[in-house]
Amino acid sequence: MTARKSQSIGDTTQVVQLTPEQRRALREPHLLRQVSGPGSPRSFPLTRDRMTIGRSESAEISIASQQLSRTHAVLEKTPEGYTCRDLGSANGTWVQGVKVASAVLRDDDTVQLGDVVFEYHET
Amino acid sequence: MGFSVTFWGTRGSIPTPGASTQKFGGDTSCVELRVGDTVLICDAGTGLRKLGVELMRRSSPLVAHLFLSHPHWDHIQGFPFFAPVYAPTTLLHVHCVAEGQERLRDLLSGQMEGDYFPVQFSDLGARIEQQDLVPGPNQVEGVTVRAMRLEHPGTCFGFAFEHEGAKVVYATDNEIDLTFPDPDQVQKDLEAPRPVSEALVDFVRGADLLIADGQYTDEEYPQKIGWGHARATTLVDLAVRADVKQLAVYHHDPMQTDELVEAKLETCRRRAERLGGKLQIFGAREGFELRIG
Repeated sequence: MTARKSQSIGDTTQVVQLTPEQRRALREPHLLRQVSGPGSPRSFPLTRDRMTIGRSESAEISIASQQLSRTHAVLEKTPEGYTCRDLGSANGTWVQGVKVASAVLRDDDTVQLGDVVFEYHET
Repeated sequence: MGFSVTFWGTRGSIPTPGASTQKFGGDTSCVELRVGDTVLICDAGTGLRKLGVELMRRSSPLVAHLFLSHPHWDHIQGFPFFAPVYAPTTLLHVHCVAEGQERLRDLLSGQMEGDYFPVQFSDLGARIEQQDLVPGPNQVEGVTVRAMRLEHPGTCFGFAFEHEGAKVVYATDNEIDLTFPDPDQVQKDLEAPRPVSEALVDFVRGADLLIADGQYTDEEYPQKIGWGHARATTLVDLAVRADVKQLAVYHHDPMQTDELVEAKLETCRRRAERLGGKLQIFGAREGFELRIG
């Protein structure tokens, strides 16, 4: 099926075909809502296909917690959905209470890194 | 070096794709164990297809070891869609228990006969070799493997894998209650400890991770007696008695939505709390990768 968008110009309607990138841009991005740990509560829209989490300022999701490794975990967009992968952190990555090396995230999952807890929400 | 364990298919009986099973997954039985470059595959349910895609992406040539609990559909149906068996560079060892799985390779190839599938087993590009598993410990690329016959219609085996002090047990399709001296007693008193056999406890003992069939809730099980699957709460007794660290409740019933699986797990956690110990319980879930040991 082809995604189309109607666009009114004066009294005529033009149907515009969108590229996958344009369709993605129109959607609200999935997000990580930080519910505990330094700086919470706040939300991080997942605007890129790869985003690192850590206490380093260079991490895309940078959180000033001593319980986080500098680059603790990474979120990567895959055909199965966003995957959260531990990057050899000292305190581990927990998804839904399970210590994981990696996990495909699903809507409303809880992701914990040290004292930092996120909820993952799909839009 | 321990194991890396990835769940590729966690559903029992039949694939159940859809929104209501999205969290735990809808593909049937398939778990990958990795030790370094050694790839061990438990069962070839429909989850095997995605594992095949991943293995093709990871490396070529591929050497892998397949362990099949039994040849029911939900444990072999992914095999014809396992991309590496079409590659001439693949070497696949199919490990068969010498006493009990003599026909396994024939059954695996039988599902690819012309009436069922367009490509014949004999046309596959990979080298597929049968290996016998003898009673007691077997060595597979430095991993010690033991097999144990389980309680399931037909013949079914569980496998214990050990490497450098780490132990993972894969024991699916096992109606444990039928091995009790009086199986009806459990339903009369659900709170009482379950008399799990010493042989099964010994097989599982000390596992860092037990992946086991916990298809039914206590409410579902009485209607499914003799179908070959465990009530999840009995697994808790097995795991606690065997000093298991983590229990992955596996082979979810196709009628169970994600919410129902969560409720089943909560019942198991409450039972584990009552029985004492530090057992961690989670629902086997597609896309979860764990480091064990």
